[in-house]
Amino acid sequence: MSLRTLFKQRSKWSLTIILFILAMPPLVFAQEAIDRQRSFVYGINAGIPDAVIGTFAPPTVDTIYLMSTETSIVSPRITSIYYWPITNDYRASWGILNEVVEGELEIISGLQTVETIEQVTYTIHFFQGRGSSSKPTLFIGEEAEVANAQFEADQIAYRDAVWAYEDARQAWLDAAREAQKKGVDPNLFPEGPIEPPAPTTFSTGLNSGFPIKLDPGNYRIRTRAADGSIVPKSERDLVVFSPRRTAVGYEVIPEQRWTFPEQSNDLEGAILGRENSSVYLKPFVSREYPAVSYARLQDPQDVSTGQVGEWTWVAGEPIDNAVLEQVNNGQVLGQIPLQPYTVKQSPGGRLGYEILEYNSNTPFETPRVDFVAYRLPLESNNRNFSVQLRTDDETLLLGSNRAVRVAGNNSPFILALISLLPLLAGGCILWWRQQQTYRLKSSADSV
Amino acid sequence: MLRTENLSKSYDSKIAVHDLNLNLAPGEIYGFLGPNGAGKTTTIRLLLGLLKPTEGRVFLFDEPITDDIIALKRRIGVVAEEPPPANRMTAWELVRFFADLNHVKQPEARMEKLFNALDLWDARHALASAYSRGMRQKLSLIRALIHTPDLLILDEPVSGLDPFGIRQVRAVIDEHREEGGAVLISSHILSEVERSANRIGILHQGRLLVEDSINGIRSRIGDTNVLHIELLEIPESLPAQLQAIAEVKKIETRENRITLHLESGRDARPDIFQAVVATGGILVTMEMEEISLEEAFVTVTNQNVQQLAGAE
Amino acid sequence: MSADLTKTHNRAGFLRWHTIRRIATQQSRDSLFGWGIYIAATVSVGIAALLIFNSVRFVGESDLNVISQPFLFPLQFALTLAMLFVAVEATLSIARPREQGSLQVLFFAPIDEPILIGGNFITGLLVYVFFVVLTLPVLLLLVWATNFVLPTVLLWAVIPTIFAVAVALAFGLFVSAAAPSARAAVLILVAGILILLGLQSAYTALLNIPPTSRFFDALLFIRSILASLQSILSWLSPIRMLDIILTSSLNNDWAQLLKQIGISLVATAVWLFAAVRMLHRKGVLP
Repeated sequence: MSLRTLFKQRSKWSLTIILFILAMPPLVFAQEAIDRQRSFVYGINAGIPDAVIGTFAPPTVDTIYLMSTETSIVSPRITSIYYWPITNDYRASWGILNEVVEGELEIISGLQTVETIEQVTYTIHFFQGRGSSSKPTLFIGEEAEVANAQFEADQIAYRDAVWAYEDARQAWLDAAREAQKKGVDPNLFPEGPIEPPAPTTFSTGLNSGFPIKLDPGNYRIRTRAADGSIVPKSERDLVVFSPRRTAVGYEVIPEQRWTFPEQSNDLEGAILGRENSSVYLKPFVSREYPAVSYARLQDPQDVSTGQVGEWTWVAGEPIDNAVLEQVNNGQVLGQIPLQPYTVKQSPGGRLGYEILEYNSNTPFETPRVDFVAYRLPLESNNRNFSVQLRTDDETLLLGSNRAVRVAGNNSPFILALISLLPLLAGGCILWWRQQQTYRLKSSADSV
Repeated sequence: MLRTENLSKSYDSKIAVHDLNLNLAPGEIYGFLGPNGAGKTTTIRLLLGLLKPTEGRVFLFDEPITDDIIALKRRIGVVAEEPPPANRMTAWELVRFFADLNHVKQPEARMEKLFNALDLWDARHALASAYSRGMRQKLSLIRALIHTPDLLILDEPVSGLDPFGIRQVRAVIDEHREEGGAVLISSHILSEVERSANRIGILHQGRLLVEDSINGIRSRIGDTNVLHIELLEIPESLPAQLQAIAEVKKIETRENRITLHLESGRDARPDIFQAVVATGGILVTMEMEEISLEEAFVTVTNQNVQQLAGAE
Repeated sequence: MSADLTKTHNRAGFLRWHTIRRIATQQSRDSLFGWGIYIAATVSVGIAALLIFNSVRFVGESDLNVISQPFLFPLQFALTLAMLFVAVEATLSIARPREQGSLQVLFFAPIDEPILIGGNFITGLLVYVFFVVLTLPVLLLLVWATNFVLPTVLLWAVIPTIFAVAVALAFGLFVSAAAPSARAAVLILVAGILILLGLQSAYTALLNIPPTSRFFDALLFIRSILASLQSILSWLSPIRMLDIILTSSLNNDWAQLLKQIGISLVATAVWLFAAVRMLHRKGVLP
């Protein structure tokens, strides 16, 4: 059969196949590695409540997403980018090329330029460890210069301290060796030098970029060079979003599986537990964002995560200045304080853990703090209640209320019986209907 | 009341109805005859707007049915060959439902009357789907009459009915006509049509071959009528006297009975009577042998198709 | 003259509406007097009970179960099944009586295509409401038995799901009007549902592949295609519409809810119009 005949006979299918083949090249080419290319990009340090997300927007990204509640930095740069086919995205080689593009950023809303932002010096300081102080700090302008100078001074001071420590330690070791040779009792030998604490602050160093903090909305941005021209490929859409709701989320630690905590973010959700057990709650600030916006903020090139109309709760900073209240029908049943706990592995052949209240006076039993949480007992005489958080200044934390249930009947027989009720209702209705209608005798057929 | 103008319907190359011109007056019962596949059901579906004509138009109550078919349908009742109802309604509920669809206010009295007239009163609360064929036929008639339509279209209205049921249905149809309603009956039970219809149309292969009163059709079918007379004794001169009458074509004598073959056209019976009296004969019976509708139907559709079509 | 004309039109409109209502009440009553709806409701709450039982057992075995909405999935499942039930009924509502020859009998009465489609459409909505009324108390009993949480907001969220059901009904009626037989109608509907569910499930499955999986990167391209299809599904798939309406109601996302209701209304109108045109074209005869 010739191609022509086949085409005639299967014209619709042939057309579809040809269109598909014509559409293939972009798909095929998209899979091929592209050489490094010099390109204009926006480097992004997107501020979120408890962190700063570093990413960048290559020319293929049309829209940049930022939060309205935090200051973010957008830096116009010329860099070397390359396509990475495995992850289907572009990557930047900052080490090879990182040129600052001079100019100012125009922010346009509708047809009007609502703001023009000058490029400023900035630095971001990150702090090690989790806690209220772990939030990175963004310094802009003179503050950035000062902070950076301080950071560098701290680094030099630490370096000097380390050197001094090394010298002192060497001297102490030499003295110790001498003393050992002389037979001096080691217990009488003086304590060695103390190692200087490592710095807990890390810095991005001084950079330049546009600080952006705008009201939620859709904007368009572009970089205007010193000569008044628009920098090519610098025009992008900018979506500034804010959390729809802010509430309290809980990390829920089960008594028997403390390494597998679960999160309770949904305000309408519930914590279901077994009777005569305990769960441990660690509260944190939880914010609800548009899923697409939040995903694109973290990676502007990610087009597959999140759906339009979908919302996502994001865990934020921990809450440690409140007490947990047990509430039933509006009545506060009791208050539970935030306490440190130690996890002790069961000795011998017994597997599992035991969670003990931390006590500094019993270092053998509770040698360290493993986590800090509210212990919530689930008892058979109190099966339905809710919990809420009240701060030290007696303010009830909005969105901290969560239903807690001690699971009830799990008999499959009872549940199956309940689910047969529609059939029973149907039987009753049909029986009633049968009473309403007259059943024809067979003789009626001869009428 | 019902009129069609050059109504035609064809499916691909097959002509179902061709150039049909019907006219039905108020108070008239029109018998629609034709063998299976003649196009009767197609015609009825065209009249109800269930099929679109290939050509021509249908007028109901002087309105083209394309204008406001809903308003026109409110004035029509239809009984067709119907499958058992697929719903779970009782007969009473079914009729009530159709009464509501026709916006009949307080239909209960009429429902009661019709259910009683067709002997379904006792079975009114039975499921309509459980009805026998005959009962369903009667129920369809109640359904068709519940809104007192001006025009009743009946497709095989007495099929599946026993003689008693046929009589009940006939009575109900007669009553409808007496109230001024028109009826279009399509039936293969020719005696039923013969008994009820004022006018008959015979459809064959989609064409209306003839449309006339029953007597008119008879007169078209045959050129001779047969008259039987019985006398106490046949006078000798009587056959000659009878032969002298222009319409008499042939005489057969047997004992005291004479069979006369008469030319159709003028009624010769008064002349024949005169001849009997003049020759001193005593007439016992005089009986005209009529062609039945069945004979006419067969003749028209099978033998005289060309002739009648030409005569038209 | 103009006033008279308006009056006549108003009266004609009233009569049409009266007929639609009458068909709807009769046919929904007919559904009530058959076993189908009760069996479907029992299956739906049965599976919901199974899902709930699974959650209760999980609590028993692992001490803890943090579920954002323990009854959301069972309820969503029950509503989806209710929607499919009325969609199948709608799909048969024209094709089956037409095949049997009883549809023409209905057309002996003063009704036309829009009235029949309208009547069947409202029938479907009424049957859906009855289905929900039948299953919700049973779900509440399950809540009581398991001591789970069924927030009031979840009950309120059931109300706007009627808009998604309307789309399913309108589509079912279109298929019913277009299909050559009842069997073909059901086959078309089932094929449609399977394709839409397949797309939705495939996307959900791909979303659940963790970034640590070696398949994560390899499936990126397919995932991005399916992600684009998701937005189309919000216009096409009543199951997806029900999902969006339910979750946006739960999240108090009024903008999204209104948008999806708007989409549903447009889709319903389009399918209903297509159903009327198709019935007009195909006729009521076997």
